[in-house]
Amino acid sequence: MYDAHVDRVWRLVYRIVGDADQAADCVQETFIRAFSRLASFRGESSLATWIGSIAITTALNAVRSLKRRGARVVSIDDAPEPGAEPRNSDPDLKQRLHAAIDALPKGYRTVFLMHDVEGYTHEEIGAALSIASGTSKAQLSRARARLRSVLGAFAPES
Amino acid sequence: MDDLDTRPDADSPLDPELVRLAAEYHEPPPPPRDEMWPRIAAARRRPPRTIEFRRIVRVALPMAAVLALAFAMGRWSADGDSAATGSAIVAVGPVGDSAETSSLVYRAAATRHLQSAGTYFADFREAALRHGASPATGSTRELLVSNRLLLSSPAAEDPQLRNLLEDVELLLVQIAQLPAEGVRADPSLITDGLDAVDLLTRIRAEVRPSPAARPQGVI
Repeated sequence: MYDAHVDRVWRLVYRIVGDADQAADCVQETFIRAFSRLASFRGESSLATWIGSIAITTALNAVRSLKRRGARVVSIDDAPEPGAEPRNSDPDLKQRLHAAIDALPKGYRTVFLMHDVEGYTHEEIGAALSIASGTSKAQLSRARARLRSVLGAFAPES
Repeated sequence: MDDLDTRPDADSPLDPELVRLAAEYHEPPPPPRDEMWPRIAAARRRPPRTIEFRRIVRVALPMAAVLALAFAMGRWSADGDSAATGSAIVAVGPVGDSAETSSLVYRAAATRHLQSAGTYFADFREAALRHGASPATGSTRELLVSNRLLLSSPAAEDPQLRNLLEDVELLLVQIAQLPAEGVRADPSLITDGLDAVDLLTRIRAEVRPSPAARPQGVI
C-alpha cells in the first residue's frame, strides 16, 4: 500500500503544506492512520481516495497549525492588484501567481491545486474533501475567478 | 468577490501559461520514501486505539434542543416582528430596537451553543485520548444543525464569532464522519485539529460573560 500510494500522497500533501519536513510528517501520519484503520475500510470509495482524504485532513490540520503560529499567513491585501501588468511582460508573474494562490481561501486553494495542478477529478475531490462534486466545481470556478481578477490581463479571452 | 463567478469565463480553464506556472507552486521534490517508512513501520507494530463515548449523548442532545429554541427566537426577532420583539425584551432586558434585540438573542443562543460544543469537544477529546467505542453521531449532528442555523442567521455579523463557528463546524463534520465513513477521519486527527486551532480555549473565551454584554437591569 505504501509503495503504491506514497508518491501521490506526497505530491498532494506537499502542494498543500509547501514544506518538506511538514510534508514528510503528514505523509507519515497519513499512512500510520491508514494502516491502523485499514480493517475498517469499507470500500465505499477507492483505496486511493480514502487515503487521500486522510492525507488532506492531516495536511490541512498542519497548515492550520502553521497559520496559528504565524508562519504562513498571506492576506488577500498582500496579493497584487488586478490587471496591473500586460500579458507576458511581467518577469515576476510566477511570484505574483503564487502569492495569489496563497491568498485564496483554504477551500478554494485546495480544490484548485487538486484539480488544475494535480489533475484530480471533481468526483475524487468531492470524495476526498467530503463535499459534493458540484461544490468542488463551484469552488474551482471561484478560485479561477479570483486568480483572474488578481492577474487581470492573463485571463483567457474566450 | 463571488460576483466574479457570474463572468462568462468563470468555468473555463486558466491560460496554459498560468497553469504551467501554477504547477511550480509548492512543486514537490521526489518523496523521501526510505526516510519516511521506518516511523510508519514502527507505528504499525503498536496496537490500534478505539474510541469510547459515554457522556456525549447526555450532554449534547438537551443543549441542542435549547439552542434550536433560542435560535428560533433570534430569527423571529430578526424579521422585525413587533410582537416577537416585545417578548424578547421581556426576556433579555430593556433594549432599543429589534436589531439590538435580535443581536442579544442571537448572542445568547450562540453562547449556549458554544457551551454545549465546548463540553462535547472536551468529552470527545478525553475519550479519544483514552480509548473507547464509536461516537454518538446523533448528538454530533444535532450540534451540526444548530451550528449551521447560527451561521445562517441574519444576526451572524461578528466575524470573530463566525470564524469560531466555522471551526466548530469543520470539526463536527469530521466527527460526524467517523462511523459513517469507516475511518475517513481518525479521532486523533480531530483532536489534533482541536489543538491546532486552540478551539476549546477560544470557546471558553467566547462564552465567558463580560460585564459590558450583561443585560441591563440584571444585578
